[in-house]
Amino acid sequence: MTLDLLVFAQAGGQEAVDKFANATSSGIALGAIYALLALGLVLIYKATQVLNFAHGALAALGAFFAAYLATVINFPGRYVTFLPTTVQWILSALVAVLITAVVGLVLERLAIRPMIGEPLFSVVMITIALDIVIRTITDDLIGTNPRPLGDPWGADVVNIGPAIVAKSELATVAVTIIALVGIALFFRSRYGVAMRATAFDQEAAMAQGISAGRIFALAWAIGAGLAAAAGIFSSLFPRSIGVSNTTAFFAFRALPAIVIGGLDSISGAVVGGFIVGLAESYAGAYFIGDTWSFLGLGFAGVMPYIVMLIVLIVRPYGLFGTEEIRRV
Amino acid sequence: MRKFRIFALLLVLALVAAACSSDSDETTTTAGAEETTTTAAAEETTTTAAAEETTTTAAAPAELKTDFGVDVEAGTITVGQTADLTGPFAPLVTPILAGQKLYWGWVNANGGIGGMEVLMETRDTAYQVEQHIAAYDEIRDKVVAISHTTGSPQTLAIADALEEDDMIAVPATWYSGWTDTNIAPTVLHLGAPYCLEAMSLLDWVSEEWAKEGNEAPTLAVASIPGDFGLDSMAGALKWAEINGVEVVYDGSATIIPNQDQKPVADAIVASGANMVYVTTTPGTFGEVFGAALQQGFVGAKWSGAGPTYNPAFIAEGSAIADAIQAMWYGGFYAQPWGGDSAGMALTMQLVEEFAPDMPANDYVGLGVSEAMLVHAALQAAYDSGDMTRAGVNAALRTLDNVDFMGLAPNENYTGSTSDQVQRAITLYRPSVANLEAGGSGSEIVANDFVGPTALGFDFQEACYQF
Repeated sequence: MTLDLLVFAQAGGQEAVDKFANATSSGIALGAIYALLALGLVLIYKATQVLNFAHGALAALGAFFAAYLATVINFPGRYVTFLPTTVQWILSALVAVLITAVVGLVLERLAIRPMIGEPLFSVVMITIALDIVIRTITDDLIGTNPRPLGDPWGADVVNIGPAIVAKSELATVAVTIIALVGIALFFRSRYGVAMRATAFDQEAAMAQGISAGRIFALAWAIGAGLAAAAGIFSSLFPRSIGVSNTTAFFAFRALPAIVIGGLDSISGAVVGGFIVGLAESYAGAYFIGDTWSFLGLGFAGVMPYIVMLIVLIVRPYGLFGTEEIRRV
Repeated sequence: MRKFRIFALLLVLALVAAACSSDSDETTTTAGAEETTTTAAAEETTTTAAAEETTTTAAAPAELKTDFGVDVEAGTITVGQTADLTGPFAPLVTPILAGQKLYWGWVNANGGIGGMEVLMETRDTAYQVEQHIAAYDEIRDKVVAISHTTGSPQTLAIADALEEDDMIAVPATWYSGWTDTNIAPTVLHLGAPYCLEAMSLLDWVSEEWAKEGNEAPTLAVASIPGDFGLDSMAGALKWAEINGVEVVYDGSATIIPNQDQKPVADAIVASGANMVYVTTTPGTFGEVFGAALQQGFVGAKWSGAGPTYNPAFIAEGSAIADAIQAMWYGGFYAQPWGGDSAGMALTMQLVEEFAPDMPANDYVGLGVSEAMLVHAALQAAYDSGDMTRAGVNAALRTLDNVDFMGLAPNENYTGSTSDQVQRAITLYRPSVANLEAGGSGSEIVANDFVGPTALGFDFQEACYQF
């Protein structure tokens, strides 16, 4: 066995190492986008118990805002021309995230808050309606062709060991880490504690003077902002040529992530996102060719759901989810 | 609760507004007569697709047979479109229909067909087969011909109904089966099929490869499943077989939309191919090309079926603009925007007059070509005195040289499959300079190009069989 491994390492070893390294780096970058999407979904779910089906539409809307701000009106870059172009683009992206967060805030106030106390199924249906409305409007805004975002990294790559990684992928991972740290810090803040209390027991939190409505709005705003960040990074090289009318559907690929991590777990969302990204990437890299042809086309897309099923069999509430105990 | 009701009302209104905000150009027309009727013709004016101006002929019929979609009393002829206006090919279909609208407007302004105005009846199919079938069912009794149907699986799904109705239909797909009348007798070919397009394109690309002093090239191919990808792959693989070119990677049907495309790119890169032929949607092509570029794969020449390319690849802010400009060799079924022909001059004139804000797009001319073909069939039917759907189909089958005023290669709808098949394509290279000068970004290299492999290929049946 040891001899076999030595022969492997000497013969086709380097190629195998390169393949593994590239599949891993690609999976991590993909997982970072899924993690951003999953973070937003879980945040909204934790606060409101609602799975937001408009998340993908918000992601596409955020990416459109970024494309428009950065490539059409150069805002706020036109007012800070003394700054490097990279910083100008980051500012445009941040403004896009903020605008999308405000959209999330408005949606919560108009569409979700009036539904407090109504069956959750009805609220979920409202999010599906919102998805259709936002997606239709966003598609019209985007126009017929994809819109490049004009990011400063372009097609630039760096070598990290044997892996070739796009600079935009590094930025994606960095933003995901920042988002995770930011949310961890937020949960230690006054509003964060209030959100945790509301998620734990809404009535008890309200009895303590916490405004549940304000907490819901905050969750939707942050969730929408995270969706926008994910939409922006899913529209960059090498994953895409720009935001298009298919960008919104990317979010649905992140759904196994929140189930794997546990629907109400922030850290679970991130871990789930990376598991899904890596599972998809490894399946795409290794389950191809004649040997695996019996698996059919598109097996890589199925792999996250297989992982999800396995996790659910072992841990029905996900890796980090809270076990629900009901008295009967 | 009251607030909620107000919101619910607003949401419903927003949904209605959103639904209405799509770009579909639906027109409401009256349904055609249910039974065949014979009516005196309104006027004695005929227009042929090839004519630059309206001409009056003495051969106009005294009586006109009609059944569906032709209302002599109202003076209208209705043609239908089952079009993907909100699905993955909406970026291509929207300008196609815009081209049709411009052309029919011009026909109507010049006396219509026999004095009758041509109306469009459009339905959005979102590239969904079921929606496509429903859309056709909805308009089949209102129209005399289908001037646009998006998608091969979608068009095949209505092919039996089209045959049953004797309805001619112009598909916005270039599946080689459309030239084979055994597959869908009333679906018309317009432009070279994917497989012959692949042969001509690869002839050109290999010629360019040789001009640079290189040795025999190697080829990698990849595509999405279905006729679009596989008909194209059949042509590319046949080209390699005929020319003795080694296929170092065959990724036919390995590109699955909405999945990570890196494995396909990895396989292409690992193959070390000098020429890459990829047929997919523009979005997934961007992912495959981007992932290959990420690994420093810059020495190969890339090409693929017409709809694979999108000018957004070279738009401002695109990360792959420089690489695409250097590495993409494109082909198209009609003349791209700004081409040098009477048909394109007419298109440009109509755009300038009626849609000055329309962005440059290669598919506008294609839409005009589709409308020209149906115009030629309707005109021939009118001249014969039979504008029933069967009459239009019969008239179309007498046309052996439909002239598109240079906008697309002339077409023949008579004789054998081999006689009818179109082999010519337009060659172009992506050009940022062209885009910046207000063009579509496609710099024409040659019109009506037929590569030696495509010319010599004995085409008797569809290259890819469902």
